[in-house]
Amino acid sequence: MVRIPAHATALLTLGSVGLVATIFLGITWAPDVNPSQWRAPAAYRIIFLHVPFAWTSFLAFSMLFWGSLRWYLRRTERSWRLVQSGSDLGLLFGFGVITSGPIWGMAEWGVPWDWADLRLNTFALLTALALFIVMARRSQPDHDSTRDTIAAVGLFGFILVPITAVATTIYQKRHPGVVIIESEESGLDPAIRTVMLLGFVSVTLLFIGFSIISDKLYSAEAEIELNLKALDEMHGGE
Amino acid sequence: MSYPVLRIKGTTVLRGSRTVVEDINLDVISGEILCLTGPNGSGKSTLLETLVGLHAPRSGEVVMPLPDQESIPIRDSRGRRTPVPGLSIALQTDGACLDETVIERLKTASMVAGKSLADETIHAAMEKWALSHRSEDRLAVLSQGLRKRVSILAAILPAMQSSEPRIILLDEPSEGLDSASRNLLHDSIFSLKEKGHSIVIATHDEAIIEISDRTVEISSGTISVSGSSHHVDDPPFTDATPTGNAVSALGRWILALEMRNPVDTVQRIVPALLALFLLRSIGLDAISDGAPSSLAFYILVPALIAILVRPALIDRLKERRSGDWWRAHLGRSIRPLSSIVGSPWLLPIPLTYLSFMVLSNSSPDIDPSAYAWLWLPALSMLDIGAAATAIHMLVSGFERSTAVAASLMMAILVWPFLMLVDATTEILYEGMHFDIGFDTPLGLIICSSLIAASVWGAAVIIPDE
Amino acid sequence: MKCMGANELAGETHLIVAYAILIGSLALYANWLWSRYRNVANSPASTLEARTPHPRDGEE
Repeated sequence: MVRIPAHATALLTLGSVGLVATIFLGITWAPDVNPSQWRAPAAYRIIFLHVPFAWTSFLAFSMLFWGSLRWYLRRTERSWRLVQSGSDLGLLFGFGVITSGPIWGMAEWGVPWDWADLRLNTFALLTALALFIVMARRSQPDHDSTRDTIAAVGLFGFILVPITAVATTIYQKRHPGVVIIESEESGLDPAIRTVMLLGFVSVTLLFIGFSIISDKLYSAEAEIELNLKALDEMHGGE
Repeated sequence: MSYPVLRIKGTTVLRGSRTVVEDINLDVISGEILCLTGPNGSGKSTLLETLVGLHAPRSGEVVMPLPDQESIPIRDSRGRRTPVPGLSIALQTDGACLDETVIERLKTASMVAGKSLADETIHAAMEKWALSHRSEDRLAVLSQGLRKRVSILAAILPAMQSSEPRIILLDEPSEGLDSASRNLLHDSIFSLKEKGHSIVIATHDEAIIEISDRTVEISSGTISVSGSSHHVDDPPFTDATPTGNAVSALGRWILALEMRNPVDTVQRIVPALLALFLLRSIGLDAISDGAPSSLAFYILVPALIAILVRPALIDRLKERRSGDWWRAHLGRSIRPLSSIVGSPWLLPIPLTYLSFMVLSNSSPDIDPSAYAWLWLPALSMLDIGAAATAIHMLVSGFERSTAVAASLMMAILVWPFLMLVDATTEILYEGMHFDIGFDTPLGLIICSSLIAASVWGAAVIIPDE
Repeated sequence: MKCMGANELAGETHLIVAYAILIGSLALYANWLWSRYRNVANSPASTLEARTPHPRDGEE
């Protein structure tokens, strides 16, 4: 019988409250930016969630790659659960990053996508990969050979990161970056920084809570699947 | 003198979620006939295929023992893999694409075994197995029984003509054979043994079991061996890497199939031409009104579409388990090799020139010598094509490969493509020049190729074949 | 560019859409976890060890 640990629920609650507070403070308390320097001053508030989402999707992708590597070397159930949760969460947060990014880009730059922006491109590729893995996991029979191939895809994704970095850098040399975004972070208003920090903490708490619950659920589902297999055999024997 | 040629050590193999054999140990001895027996579904085929490294064991390993040195890992749970030297195998299903002809199959099998047999030898063997009247026919038109004969003959022919000891694996060889062919099979097996070859046979056939030296009975994941064997230590088989012959056999096989039935080319050309004609019907003015790079982009798009298509080779390798047959003989190298040979070598250059002619509208801005250098970015498209093929092959490792979206993994190829667009833009409007830098045509083309090559490398090196 | 009102409005719409997508996807994921939890909790196979070989007998 699956039991959701109380601390996971507590983390989710805290994270959600923090998220609401981030949005509330982000809209009411964080100061407006100078409208003469920004094309869409209101849209800048997207970063209060966009940046924390990017951070957590990075955590999720790391989980996915670590799980893939462990599965490749050890083939343990635990490492497979890391692949499962990592790809789900990578898709969730990565999707958030690559939708909110272009929405902000549309408002601020007038173009949704910058092919010379390393972060955007890396997250897009990794999110596509997480989507691939989620779809593959759902469509394929859950055998060792399937897991091997998925782990190979996960590791392939890991190699994509430096390749993307190189590709984007070379491309950037020809097409200078459209806008320099968060590089002025250090000079940000303290209120903006506080709200961003609150966002970071909240989304990270949500991420940890989700990971724990997801791990428990996958573990319970695997157990149920084993039980169902045992039932299949009992029926077969009758 | 007899010695172990293959050894299974503490091996557990799963098929799907089922454990087929658990923690088994078994030696195959030189010059013996070893029969694997057991009821249907007991795991005879799995055990046979494990011997040649077709299945990754969950634990344990399969090795070729060598004296005084480390044994060759045929396959182990840590992903090490070497093809068995001196091996020929007949899988239960044909192990051949049905577009092959009988004679091609036999020649290919001999080449893979490192023997280039004279036509007369092959014809004599076909005569004996009553196949010569069908020698030029495709396997697709042959009956099940005839195809079985072809697959057995392909496995035993190299050993028949070889003085060095070889290993022959036959999976249910008598299934579907008439009685005359069965007798021929029994005789051949016996004479192979006389020549000192080792033969492993998964079978129900009592007559074969009778002539065997040892039998291995498989039931509920364990094995029991009956019959006796004498061990004497262990002269080496040396050459563990696939021969150049085997590699070129794969190349020829891929090209011969495509020439006979050019599915791959057609599947690639049709969407490319469709895209080109759609672009043309937008109107040339719309194209030339865009940014300077848009013409280059439109010129390269048909070639891009052509190289991203899923290669027909993947289906050919899946048909009747022909890919597994190659995998058994070539091991890991099949993936890098076929991802290169299976790429569309002939298409990008003509497609690029065609779309240049259709779309450029003889614009006066275009450098007059541009057309002389367009082949260079088009050639570089081939690298992207090889990377795409490698990704398709990685994805085809799934059991239900039609149920996954390979295109999600292709997004990385956007960058090398965009670099080629930039390079082509330069060539079109500035003319070709040979400086190296991030904004020169040559520099961009080299970068694009290197990036595509890295993607290709990642996709062929990581997966456990 | 000088038309500040329109600019701000555009930015606001973008902000609302982005927040809706971000929060909405979190909510969808949480809901999915919750439905999986209910499935697991209610699955007759989750308490198999406690039962006799016949799965449908003796259900609590």
